[in-house]
Amino acid sequence: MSYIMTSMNIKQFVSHTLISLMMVAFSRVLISGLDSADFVIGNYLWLPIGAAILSYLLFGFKTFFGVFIGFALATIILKGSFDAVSIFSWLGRLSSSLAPIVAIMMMRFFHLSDFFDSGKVNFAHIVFLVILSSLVSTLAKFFIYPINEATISNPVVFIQSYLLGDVIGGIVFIYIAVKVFVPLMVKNKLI
Amino acid sequence: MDSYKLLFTNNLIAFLAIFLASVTMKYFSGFDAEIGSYLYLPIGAKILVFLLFGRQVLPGVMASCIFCGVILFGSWGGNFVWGAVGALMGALAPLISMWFIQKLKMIDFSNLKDIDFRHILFLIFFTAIIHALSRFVIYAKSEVFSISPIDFLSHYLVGDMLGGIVVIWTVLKILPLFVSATNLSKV
Repeated sequence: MSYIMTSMNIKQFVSHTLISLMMVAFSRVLISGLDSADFVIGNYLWLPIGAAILSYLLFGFKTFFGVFIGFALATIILKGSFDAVSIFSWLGRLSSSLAPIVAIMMMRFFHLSDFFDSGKVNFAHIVFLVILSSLVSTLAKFFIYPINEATISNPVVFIQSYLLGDVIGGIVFIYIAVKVFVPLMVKNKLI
Repeated sequence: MDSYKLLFTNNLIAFLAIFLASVTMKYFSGFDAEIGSYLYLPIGAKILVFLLFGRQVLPGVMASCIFCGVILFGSWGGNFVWGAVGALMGALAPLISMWFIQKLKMIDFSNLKDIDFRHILFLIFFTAIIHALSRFVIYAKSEVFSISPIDFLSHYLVGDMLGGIVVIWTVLKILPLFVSATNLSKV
């Protein structure tokens, strides 16, 4: 019996990790056309943060590796090779993967929200979570990136574009996902 | 007439609370607008007066911010307009944070009796982020101040959080102990 349960748990863990990985990688590749050549100007529709937030809300923090590998995979695909990705880019992806966890933990620690009211998604609280995750992610990147040789030439534009991109991307992704994908997953008993 | 008198008194209390916090901060750690302070006490006083009296004390808070920022700290970089705008952002940041949190139905600040202390702690953290970022954008755009982005943000973020916690902890947790001890000694 316990063997079957363990097998089920592993199967569920793998499927959740794969779904998270696919969501993050696909959303990152999808918005690559909006990337700026200068890293100081962020993408104004950063959908992957919405994918990461949704993964943690639906499947829990255990999908962290799926989210991080999704970011890594998309970065490698977009840059062309593993060697083309700098250590600072990895740190940026790590902060993007960790920021929603920090935001969710903060909101739970401060008794703010569980994000679901009697099984239904509380969209207002999720919007706040997106904004908090964006703030944490942008600030983390701001403190990580200047270590690089290419220092941030225009910090105001950096903060403005990364923050705005995260907020817009997060809200857009979660809105679409909640309206389309979650009902589909519930129907197929994936969550 | 009484309502005007009450409004004036509340605004005066708000003005004095922020002034007192600013003088205390200047005495303990000093303040430089381009670097910030690791113990920015006025933010705690601003949050507290908005929690106690609501947004009606905004004029008193704004007046106090401009008075302390421009005259007491001399942090206006030789340009009164930018100095005043930066100071006003300090007055508006707690109000914007509270409005935003209430608008999304996260916390209700109207009933202070039943409020969870963790909610106030979160308000301090959120206000600190909004305050630090808004001041950074204003000061960097003004080109009146010479700021180092990393130092500026780290000082303002940490200073606002520590200052806010110190003031609110002192007022909500320690002052009542002194008051009750004084009352007991009278009995």
